[in-house]
Amino acid sequence: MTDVWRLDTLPSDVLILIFDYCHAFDLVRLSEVCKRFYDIIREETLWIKKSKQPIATNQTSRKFRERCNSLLCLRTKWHVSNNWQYGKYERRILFSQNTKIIPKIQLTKDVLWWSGGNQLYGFRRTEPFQENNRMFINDYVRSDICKFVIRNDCIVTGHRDGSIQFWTKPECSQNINFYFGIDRAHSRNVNALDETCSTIVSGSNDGTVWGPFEQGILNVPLATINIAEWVCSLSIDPTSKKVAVGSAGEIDTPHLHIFDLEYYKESDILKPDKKRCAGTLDMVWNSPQILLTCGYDTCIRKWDLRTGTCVYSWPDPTDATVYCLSSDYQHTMITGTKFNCKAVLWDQRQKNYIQFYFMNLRRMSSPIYSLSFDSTRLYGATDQHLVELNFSGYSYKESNYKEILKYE
Amino acid sequence: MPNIKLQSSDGEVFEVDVDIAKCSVTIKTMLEDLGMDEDEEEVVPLPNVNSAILRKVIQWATYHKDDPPPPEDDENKDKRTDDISSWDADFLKVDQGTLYELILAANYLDIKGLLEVTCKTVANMIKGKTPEEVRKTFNIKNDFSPSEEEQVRKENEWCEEK
Repeated sequence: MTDVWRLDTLPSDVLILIFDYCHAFDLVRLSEVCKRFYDIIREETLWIKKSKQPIATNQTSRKFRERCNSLLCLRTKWHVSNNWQYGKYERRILFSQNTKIIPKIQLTKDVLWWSGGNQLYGFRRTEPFQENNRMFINDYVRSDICKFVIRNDCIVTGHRDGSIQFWTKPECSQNINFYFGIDRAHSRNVNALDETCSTIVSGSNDGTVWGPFEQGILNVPLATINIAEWVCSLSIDPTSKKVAVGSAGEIDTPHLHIFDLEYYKESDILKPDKKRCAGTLDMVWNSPQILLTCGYDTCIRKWDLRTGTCVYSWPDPTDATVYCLSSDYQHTMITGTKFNCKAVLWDQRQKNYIQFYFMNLRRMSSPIYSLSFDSTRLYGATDQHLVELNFSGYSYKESNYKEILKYE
Repeated sequence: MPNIKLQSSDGEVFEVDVDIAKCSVTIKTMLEDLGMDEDEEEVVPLPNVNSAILRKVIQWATYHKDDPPPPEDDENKDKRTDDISSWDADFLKVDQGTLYELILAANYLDIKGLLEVTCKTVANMIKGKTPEEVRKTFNIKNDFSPSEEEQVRKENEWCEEK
């Protein structure tokens, strides 16, 4: 062989083998080297595998994709993920009101749902965002909404007076209409609610879990499970077979229970950590075996049902109570904490947090009571505001608070 | 121990232990498919590999003959490039031309371990370099027009200075 091989004369299939070992940042720089590299790297081949990895933008889970307003092309995923990691975003207040309340939000592909006081709004996720393009309850709601869930066909709300109410989900009109209600589902605040296609489970301050309610015979609960203390959160697993229930953790009983939805019996016993765990304020099933919880112990905890133990915990860097938790059902987790409207981005593959976001207006301090995200946007609800951070664009000012604050 | 004869593109014949030769999936399949008898004085021609490279490949395969099979790729993880053994690192202290020929040979002969370690070596040479440094290291000509280059740079702006 007389010709000596050079990197840029190697066959394309061999170059792809080599480039596959390069990090995304190296790939991007390689694409500036020469036209041939540019063409090879523009192809999706090299990005298919890589695009499963980036934080917040991997969109690998179907359940996560269902709330993503836009699906990103493979290369864009890296650029947007980079914005998340280095705190490059545009902040916007979507909605404000005067009284201090404890709001909740839920995100779907087209609508951002918000409840606060006795109001429930569905903000359409149009661009540009219009505060007035929203759905709302026309009737007078006599008791404040503590928790709600959006179902395919309707909206279910849990109220302070212990009632559970059902509402029609408007297709194109603005009005959310009353459908029917269960007046005395519980004796006090309905703090926790979740649903499957056939049932609804609710939990309350009176320490009982109702459900599942079956469509048609909704006035009678199928089962009541007694929990000795306040129920703060509950979540049905992705297979609809089990429900996890988190309680206040005030008395010395287990604060986290898993019940079987067929027999209404405790089905998995989770062994608490050595450190006494306090109340569980929010939880997400990352998969049928993995449950993520957060709460007064200032940690995110990852529970594995196969071993019945907490397999990992991530303590909040500022030791703040973690009020809420959202996940992309892969590696990304974002928490909302008690002080300064602070949200924290986590990667389950890493020990340390990735970034802080402050979702406040001026210097006001509030907890983030509820949050959700898709691949390009983070939504957080504080006591008076509904805030959006948009990570999708270019040339944002960098607010890299991880670098500025340097918490361990 | 049964041996097999491998002939390089320039006609040199190497006598190799069959087990070592079989770390090449290409040779292994060839032997199995053709039903070559190990006693026969048959020579396996390898028209894509010259003697200098074949000698290196045999040297590598001999050293690694007792290695466990490389693990399956984990789709969800970035491939590591920092796990090259010191023997391999020494073995691959060769000029770029030889390194590429080893990659091509490993690819043709289907030797996963050698292909991995050679590709990793090149990826490590690319790692962290600016486009200009890459051009210099690999002696590549910049064939973008100034306006094209500007366009590409704009697309890639997001990952500058990180």
